[in-house]
Amino acid sequence: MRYLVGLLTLVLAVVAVAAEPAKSEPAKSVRTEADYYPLTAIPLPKDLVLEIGAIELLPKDRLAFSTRRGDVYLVDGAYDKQPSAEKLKFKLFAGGLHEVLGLVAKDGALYVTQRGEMTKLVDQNGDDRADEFGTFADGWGINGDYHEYAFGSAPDKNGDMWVVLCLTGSFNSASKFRGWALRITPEGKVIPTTSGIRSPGGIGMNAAGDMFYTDNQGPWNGSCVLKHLVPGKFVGHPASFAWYDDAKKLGGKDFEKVPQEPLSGSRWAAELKKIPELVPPACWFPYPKMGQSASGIVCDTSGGNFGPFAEQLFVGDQSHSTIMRVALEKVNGAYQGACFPFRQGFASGTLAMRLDPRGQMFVGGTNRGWGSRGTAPFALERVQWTGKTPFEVHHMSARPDGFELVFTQPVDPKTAGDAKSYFMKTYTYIYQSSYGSPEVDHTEPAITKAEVSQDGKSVRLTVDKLVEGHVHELTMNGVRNTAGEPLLHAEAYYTLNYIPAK
Amino acid sequence: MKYASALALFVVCFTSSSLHAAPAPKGPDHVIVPAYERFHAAKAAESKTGAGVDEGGRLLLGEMNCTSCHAIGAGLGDWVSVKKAPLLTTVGDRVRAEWIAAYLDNPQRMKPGTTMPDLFADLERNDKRTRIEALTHFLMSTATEAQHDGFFDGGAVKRGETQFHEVGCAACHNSQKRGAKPIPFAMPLGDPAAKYTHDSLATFLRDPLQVRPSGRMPHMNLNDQDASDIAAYFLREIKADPNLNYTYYEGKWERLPKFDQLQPLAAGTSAGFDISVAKAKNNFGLRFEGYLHLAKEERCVFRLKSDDGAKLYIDDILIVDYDGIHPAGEKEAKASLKEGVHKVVVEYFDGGGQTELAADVRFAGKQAWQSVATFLTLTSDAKPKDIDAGFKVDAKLAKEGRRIFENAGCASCHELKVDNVKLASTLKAPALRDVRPDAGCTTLVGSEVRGGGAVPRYALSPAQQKSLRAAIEWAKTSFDTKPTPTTKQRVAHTFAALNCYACHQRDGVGGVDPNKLEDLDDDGVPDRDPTSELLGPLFVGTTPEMGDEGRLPPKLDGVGAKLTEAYLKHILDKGSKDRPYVRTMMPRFGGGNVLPLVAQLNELDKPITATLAKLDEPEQRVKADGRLLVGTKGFGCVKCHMFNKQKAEGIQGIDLTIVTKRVRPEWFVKYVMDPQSLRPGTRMPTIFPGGKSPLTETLHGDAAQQIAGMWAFLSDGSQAATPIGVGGQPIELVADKEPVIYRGFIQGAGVRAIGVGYPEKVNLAFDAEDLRPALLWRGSFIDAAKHWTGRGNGFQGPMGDEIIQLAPGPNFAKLRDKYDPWPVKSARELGYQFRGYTLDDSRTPTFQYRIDGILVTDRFHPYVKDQKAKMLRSMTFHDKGDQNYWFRVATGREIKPLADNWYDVDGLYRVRVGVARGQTQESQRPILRKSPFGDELIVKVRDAEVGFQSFAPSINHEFDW
Repeated sequence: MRYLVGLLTLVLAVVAVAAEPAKSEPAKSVRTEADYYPLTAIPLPKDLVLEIGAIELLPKDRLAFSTRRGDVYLVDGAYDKQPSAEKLKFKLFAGGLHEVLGLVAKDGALYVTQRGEMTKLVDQNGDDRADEFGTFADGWGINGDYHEYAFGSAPDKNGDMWVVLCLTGSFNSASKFRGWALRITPEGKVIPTTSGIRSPGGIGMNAAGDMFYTDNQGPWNGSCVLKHLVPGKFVGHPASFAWYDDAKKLGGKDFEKVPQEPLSGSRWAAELKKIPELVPPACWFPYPKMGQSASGIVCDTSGGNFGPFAEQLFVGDQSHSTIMRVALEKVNGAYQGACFPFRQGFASGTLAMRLDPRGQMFVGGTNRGWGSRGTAPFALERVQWTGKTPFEVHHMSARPDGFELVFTQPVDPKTAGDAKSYFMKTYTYIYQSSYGSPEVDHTEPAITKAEVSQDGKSVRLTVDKLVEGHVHELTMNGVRNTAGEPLLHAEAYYTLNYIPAK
Repeated sequence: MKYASALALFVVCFTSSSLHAAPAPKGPDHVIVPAYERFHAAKAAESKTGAGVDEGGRLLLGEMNCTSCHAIGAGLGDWVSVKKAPLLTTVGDRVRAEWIAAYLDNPQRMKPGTTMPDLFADLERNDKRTRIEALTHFLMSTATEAQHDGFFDGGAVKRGETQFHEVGCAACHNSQKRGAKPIPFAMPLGDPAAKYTHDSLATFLRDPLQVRPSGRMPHMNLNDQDASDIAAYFLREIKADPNLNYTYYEGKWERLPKFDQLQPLAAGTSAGFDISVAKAKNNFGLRFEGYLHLAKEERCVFRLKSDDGAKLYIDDILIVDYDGIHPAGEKEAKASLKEGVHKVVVEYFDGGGQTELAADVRFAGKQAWQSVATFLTLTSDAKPKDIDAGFKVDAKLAKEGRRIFENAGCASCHELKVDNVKLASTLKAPALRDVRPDAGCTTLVGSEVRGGGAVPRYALSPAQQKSLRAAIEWAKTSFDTKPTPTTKQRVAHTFAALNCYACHQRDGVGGVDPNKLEDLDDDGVPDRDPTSELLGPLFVGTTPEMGDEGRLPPKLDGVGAKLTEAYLKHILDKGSKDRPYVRTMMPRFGGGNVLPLVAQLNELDKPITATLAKLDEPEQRVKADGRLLVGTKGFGCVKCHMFNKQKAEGIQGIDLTIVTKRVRPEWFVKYVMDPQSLRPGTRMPTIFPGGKSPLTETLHGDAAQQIAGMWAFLSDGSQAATPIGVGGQPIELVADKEPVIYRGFIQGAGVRAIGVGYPEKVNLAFDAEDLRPALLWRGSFIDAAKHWTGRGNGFQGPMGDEIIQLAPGPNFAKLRDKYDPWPVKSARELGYQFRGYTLDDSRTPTFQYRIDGILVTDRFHPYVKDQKAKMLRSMTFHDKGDQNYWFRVATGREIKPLADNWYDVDGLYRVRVGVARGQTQESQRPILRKSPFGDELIVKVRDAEVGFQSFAPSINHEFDW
């Protein structure tokens, strides 16, 4: 029974993190996340339980969200500068659905992903209440196990909506296509797309339109992780192999051969060499440093309205009530990159997010069944950018002999050019059939050089030496900007699946 | 004093030096029979003449087993109960040799209060020593296996202390805590550590009746864990030698790491699987290794109990895998092991929070679990220590001991079988009426020596001597008249002999009654019962707000009129734990010792005059009403009573589902009507103030009928449907003005169920996987709490009543003709497609699905007729098909046609099918046929040739129940 104690440690950790900068810096210069990205609560009606599972944007500043209790609400007033309970209007669009974790407005209808099907909700008479509940696609199984969640995505560039299906529990796939990502075509046809899923917490696209999902620590997942869903490929958990015959029947040429089963106890780097279908994890979220329950994904496509991180991914963590930031690049044809802390302190367990083009991020939370640092049982909040640029690592790129760090502000050449301002360690996870993994195979490579660029915006680190397949955890406690301020977040975790050739 | 030196001499005979040498326990210097000491001793002590103290004397005659030697004579046996002495057939397996010798030398010294006499008190010292030695050899020759000091986990002692002091042991034995107030009538325990090993004491505690059939030490219904823990509590001072090697690690794991790849932080030896060797409180790992010695091939069950993960390997093969982060729990696995030495490895880790580890084994043919550590050694060539290793049975001495056992009177009281034959006593003693009351056993000193044999010396208090003499006198004078005891006397005698009075009061005697006042010192002022003051603190409840009722065992006045005969028998024979709030358990006393009480209590206790009201409504309706009344929408009984093992919100009163099995209906009627009349002071509230029911809508608002309704509902026992309010706060979904829909896992309607609650208070669960209505019911729609709290696992059944289950499998099928069997595949497997539903202006759903090329719309309209909600289902077909299609109206064990085209299905509901408009043609009449699964009612809805043309494009399907 570690949960109680675990929670206590978490609380202590939060206190410790909050207290740390105060020790090392004079109070006046302490910058907090709230200086750049304040949170605004959107008060929910007192008599309703609205455990938000998915959020969608509608015309005329209207918001729609779905709930774990199976309702879909329309909200007016969520964009108000200070949303107030008096002015907000909540309208029950549809009810009685089965744990809705996907919500898409398309062609005048709302498409909802329930546990057992994707349903097209239409309001024929314009009274803001759905009167058609058409089964749009239901070509997957459920069996009554609470674990069998289904998360739905926004349409991709072909108009397909993706559904990622959680396994039956952690280890098995007892119902059809559990452990798979499926695409639902605009006609409602189901196309089995990627195998190997364990327990998703969210699904979303990057700026290029490639689909990603988050998976959670457990069997075959040493830690929580962001993975790229490549059609025809396999992302790591072999319980999904049970459905290759069915996948093949639905026209999946890629699924004619079941991939080789990964060797439990091995490492990802080793298995990637053996299993051609296996896609490397795009970004590990080291457990529990970054989070313990990765959830929703949004891409900043606001063209700068959400601050300096255009086209990067923002990923929730339900357990830590946080949002993390991920900057990916492609090496050897596969995504990899770094994650950074971004914003903590959400009221409930962060689950669903949505960013509007004007740069307002709506964040829905719930902690039913899974505890969160945010103590509210459920919440809806908004994150906005104040226009001030935080001093952060904008992105981190791999180089054959180290990394390039690009900052959001010019750095102080003295501190940023001093290799001692940085500390790096590397590790990976055991790729295994049992639950999770400790960090293993630790190294502490030396940072031999830190060269600041001409414009002062980037630093080239030379590292002796990089380890392929490892998370490279970088702390930059010594780095200052030209104003002498430390980084808002001095940690970065780069998942180095491949070392680039140049 | 002279005996002490004899003992010292004797002990020298043993070579084992590390035996537990206990100082003699302190205690009374005379026989203790609890009920005698409590109710008779003072009276006898004060009595100058000895008159009127014979009742106590008769109790002693039985409890001291006098009549086993001194025949009481025919006709008087009913006055004296016979307490069978402990069975000694395998005494060598459970008692330490050293203890036997010391006990025989001076029983009162080793076990104060014992009724066992000093058999050789008058013998010359050497003679006594020789006889005891021979007897010890004989008794130890009964051993069938070696005894070892057992091992127990670190928490066992504390748990055992709690159990001992709460489950009822202390009611007879008094508190064993330091500073406990002495109780003169408590049964002393001696020093169990001097007598038993952990395993032999645990075995004894689990089922004392095995070796002490008299039931004076009753069977406490302890589970293995509790018995082992209590044994550990008594043997807590015994320190075992280290017998395991361990290595210690620290780290944060979710599963057991590969310890061999980690660098241990410490290593050493431990006694048993002792996780207290860990340096850290949490987040550590331990690997224990030792060698298991088996004298023969064994089939074993191994069990790990741990928090968090643990694994047990034997000879490097994984036997028990209980890995992962989990709360304390256990896992078992079987293994067959060859004779010889086996390497045992137990790995364990803690991931935070509580810590626990125990590894136990149970050998085939044995009931008891023992710690694996009991049989382990540090190295493969060592042998586990046999506690009696220093004692070798000498055959010649044993033979002599057997002779003494037979002729010194041991065999008169104790059963001991050799080769399955009970040894007979050759001792001849005078009949009771010929005993000289002023000499012999009953005197403390100066027993006469007769015929070379010795008179056993009982340690008797002056009061006990007086009582016994009075009883012997009574036996002499009663021999001719042969009076018979009254039933009341018999009951009182049994209560005294078995010490029922320690817990229970009856007829103002015994138990703990904090309110009992009596003028004890004749000063005209009533005094509190002093014995209750002593006993009172020994009873513990789980619910302080229940007061004394929540911790004291019940008074037994009128119990014969309260409990059913079968249940009374059950309780006496098997014990019970029906009151969740009282920690004390009702033990089992062994059928033969107590079962006569059933008839006796029945005879004595005046029946209650009350009867269950007659009810005119059908049984199903009555039960639904009873369920409503019991639930939180009725009288809310479930708020304070458990229901089918599910906890109540508030205090945990007796489980309602055992009530009708437990109490007589007439008692129930009177009790529910006026609780105080039968249990003065009870917290059970009066729900019918002035005999009137506040709930006027149910069962005519009549209190008597409502009681009968609740009784009828509760008579379903554990099969009774769960009333509203059980199992946490319900989240009831209510269809107020428009239907309410609930999609999810509905019990009986599958994983893609769509529940619809209609404002008419009739409900439907549509199975979208098989495209059929699965359930119809009346009353409340559904409780969403199961799915809307926590993670929401599992299926939720209807909240209402009168649930009917409709035909399983798809409703439509393509059949060649009426003889073609109905397909067994599911609708999905047949390729039928669910298309969803639309809501009309009334928000009523119309389901849509596709049966091959046919689109079906399917709508359910509840309607009320004869004050009862019924269901009309109408279906319309949009034809694109080209085959014969049939509709299955109903399936059941037995379907019977009724008037007006209705059919009865199993007597549970009625169903009718017909065209929506116009007359039903002959060709559209349903066909009743037999299927391998029972009766089947089918009707053709589409013809391959003519489509729906000559049939109706829409049909109605009606349900009444």
